[in-house]
Amino acid sequence: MIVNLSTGRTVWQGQAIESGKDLKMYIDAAAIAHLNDDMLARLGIKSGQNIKIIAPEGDVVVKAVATKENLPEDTIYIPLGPWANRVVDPTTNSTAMPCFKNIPVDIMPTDEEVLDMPTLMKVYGKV
Amino acid sequence: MSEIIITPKIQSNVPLEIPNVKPDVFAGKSIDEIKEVEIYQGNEIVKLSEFFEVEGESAETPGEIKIIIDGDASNIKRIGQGMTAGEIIVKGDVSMYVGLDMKGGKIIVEGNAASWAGQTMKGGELEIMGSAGDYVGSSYRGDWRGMSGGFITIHGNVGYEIAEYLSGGKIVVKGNANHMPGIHMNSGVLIIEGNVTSRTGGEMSGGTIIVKGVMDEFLAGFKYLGIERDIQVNGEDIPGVFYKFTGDYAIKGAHGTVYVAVAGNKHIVP
Amino acid sequence: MELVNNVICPFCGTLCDDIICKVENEEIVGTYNACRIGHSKFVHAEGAMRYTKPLLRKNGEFVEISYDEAIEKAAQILVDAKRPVMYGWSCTDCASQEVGMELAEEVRAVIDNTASVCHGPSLLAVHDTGYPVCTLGEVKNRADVVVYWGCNPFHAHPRHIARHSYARGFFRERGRPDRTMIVVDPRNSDTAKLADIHLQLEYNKDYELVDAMRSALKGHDILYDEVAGIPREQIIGAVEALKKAQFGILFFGMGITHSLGKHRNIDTAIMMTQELNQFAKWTLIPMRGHYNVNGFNQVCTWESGYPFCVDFATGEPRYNPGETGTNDLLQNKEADAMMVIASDPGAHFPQRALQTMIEIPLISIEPHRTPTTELADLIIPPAIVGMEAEGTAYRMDGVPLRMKKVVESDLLTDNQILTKILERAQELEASK
Repeated sequence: MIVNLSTGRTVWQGQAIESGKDLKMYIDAAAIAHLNDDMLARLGIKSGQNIKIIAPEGDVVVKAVATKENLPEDTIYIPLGPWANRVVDPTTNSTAMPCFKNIPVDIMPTDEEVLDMPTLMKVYGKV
Repeated sequence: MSEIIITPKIQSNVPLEIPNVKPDVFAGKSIDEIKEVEIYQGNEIVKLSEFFEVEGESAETPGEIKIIIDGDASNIKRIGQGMTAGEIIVKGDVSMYVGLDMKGGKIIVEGNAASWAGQTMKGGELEIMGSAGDYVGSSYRGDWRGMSGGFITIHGNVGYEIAEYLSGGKIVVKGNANHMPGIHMNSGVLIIEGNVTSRTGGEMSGGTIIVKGVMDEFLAGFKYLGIERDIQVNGEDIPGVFYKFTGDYAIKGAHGTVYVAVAGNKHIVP
Repeated sequence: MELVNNVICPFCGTLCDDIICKVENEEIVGTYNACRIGHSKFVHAEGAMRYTKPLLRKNGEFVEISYDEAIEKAAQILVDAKRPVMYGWSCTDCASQEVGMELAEEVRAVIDNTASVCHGPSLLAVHDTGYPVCTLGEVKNRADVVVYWGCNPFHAHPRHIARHSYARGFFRERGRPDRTMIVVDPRNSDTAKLADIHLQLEYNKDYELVDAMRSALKGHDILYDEVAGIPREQIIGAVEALKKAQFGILFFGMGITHSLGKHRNIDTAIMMTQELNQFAKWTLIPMRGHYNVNGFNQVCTWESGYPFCVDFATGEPRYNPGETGTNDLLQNKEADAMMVIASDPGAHFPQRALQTMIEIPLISIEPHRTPTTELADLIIPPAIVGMEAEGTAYRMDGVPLRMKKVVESDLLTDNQILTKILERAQELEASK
């Protein structure tokens, strides 16, 4: 399903980055996507199940959760962090600023696991 | 006209800046002297001959010199910066700032150009056979005066915010333009023969924009004036049937004009 | 247990200055007054890794090295590079930033801070249009119309609303009831839920909406019946509400700096704020994220003339976000070395930038295990400013505040680390 991806702060994500980005708290706060109830229904999944997000520059698995802050139609919201940044649009349009909001992405239910932070960063292949 | 051929022999890992490669600097120099001309490799000054073969024949005045950059210049910035006369032909792609602050003469890029082609250009002619990036003919950051004279032609497509703060001269885009062409335009002429996405002429205070293709969206700060046929802009006849708008009234005292071809654009008329 | 009063919180640009820290055996074990995020910064969480020794990556594994070895290595990397970039700076004090500027000039680097991915568009807009700013004290005491455009302080600046726009002030004796709160956001955010007026615009349409509002403000018709999904009448109604303010304040955040058009959205929003002053007193404050992101922009401007993205490659400062932004340098594969301090681009840069970060030598001056340190070749741990070191920070409204040292630390401060790297770099450059 093609949807509009937005990213940004949540207080839980803020708490987690200051507590420790190597803690489970960070995964629970930032490796999640907020969805409206109707989108969960359309995907045929319940809050707490995983979805895969595919964008031209990369893909990522996150946990879908029902949002408390209702979103515009066809929009999902991922707190900023290394999971969201797998699928944002890096182009800066010559302004220094990448496109962190309003990016078309494809989402689908998945059985794949959410990666923790160190495992996720290994995807980049630093040696 | 004498020809000086500059051939890239190795590619640098960081960008090169070659504002000194122009007829104004080469005039009166021998080929051996030209090889000694200083260029920047990142934060270091190196000699032109470290990265380029130089051959051909020089001349006494810039107007008699044609420089041919024979190869890939996609990692080379500031080609023809501030040139006043003569010619530069690039046989491949170029990086940022081709024709920056150009005052005269002619530059032809046979490939594509990155952003800021013709930034603050004041005269002369810049022709790009391929596509160009963002900010074609724009201002320096923070300035309210962009390109003020000369003529830019882009045969391919262009990116965001072209003709930003345009203050004179003419830009013609044969392909499509992305968001915000002619933003903050003060005067001058911008012709887009292809399609545009949105925000054409945003906050423009003067000048003329002509869009011959399809415009996805337009701004609510403009006023619709009606249909005009076979228009004349700065003495040039432009055939066709156009919707005419003026604005952008978000700006006090604005008197910019936007013509949009009637074909395919009924949706932007109120 | 000891209580330390009037501590300034080193998390967000609100710089709350009323925190009380509970200290036991040179460790902060609790706080009063801090928000959920601030508390997490002050109090160490069980299980989170804090680096205590510099680390060097050798054959894919980190090995402990001394500070002296780490500083030698960092200086070598910066001096050897032809296009180094020094990024971050937003979670450290102004004096350290000042040393950073000198280091950047010495090694002819590009220096840039996290504004690049946050309020950089606002900085670009400010030098196009100006900056009609006021202090948060004026907001508290005077503002009767408060606009939050594209920001969600309930989550990002948790105490901002309570301290500045809900609080009782000199001319706003009843606090919240004396103010009209307008929120512009496509989401029904927790902040929007509290608004008197919620303009729920379509995403990526901020520019279109402001364009229509500015045109209406000058008495012109709005060309279309609906702009950004909002009917003409509602736009005109909102403009009238802004005009009737006694003292209006526009707070704006990432919702508008990240949306299509980026700096052009801010540019036109600032212009609207200026123009509203024909009818009422109007001011604005960007909702700055990191506690001293503003401080770097101040330091950088007084040192070089430009607020961020400053390129010292030719020895003199040059500036062009889009070319000299850290994301541009990484994505265009221009940078050949990177130093990160007081920020986490590994977490907050897009994938394409990270693909270059792993290819070049990466120095990370960072107290904790982060996505950036996962990619780093060299990690140098500092004492944390605002907790273990004192220093000056600039609040989002441009008011400088002196941050306290609450507890002692054995680690070098950012300032000491940078000064040592600078001294070594000067020696290496001199021997070139």
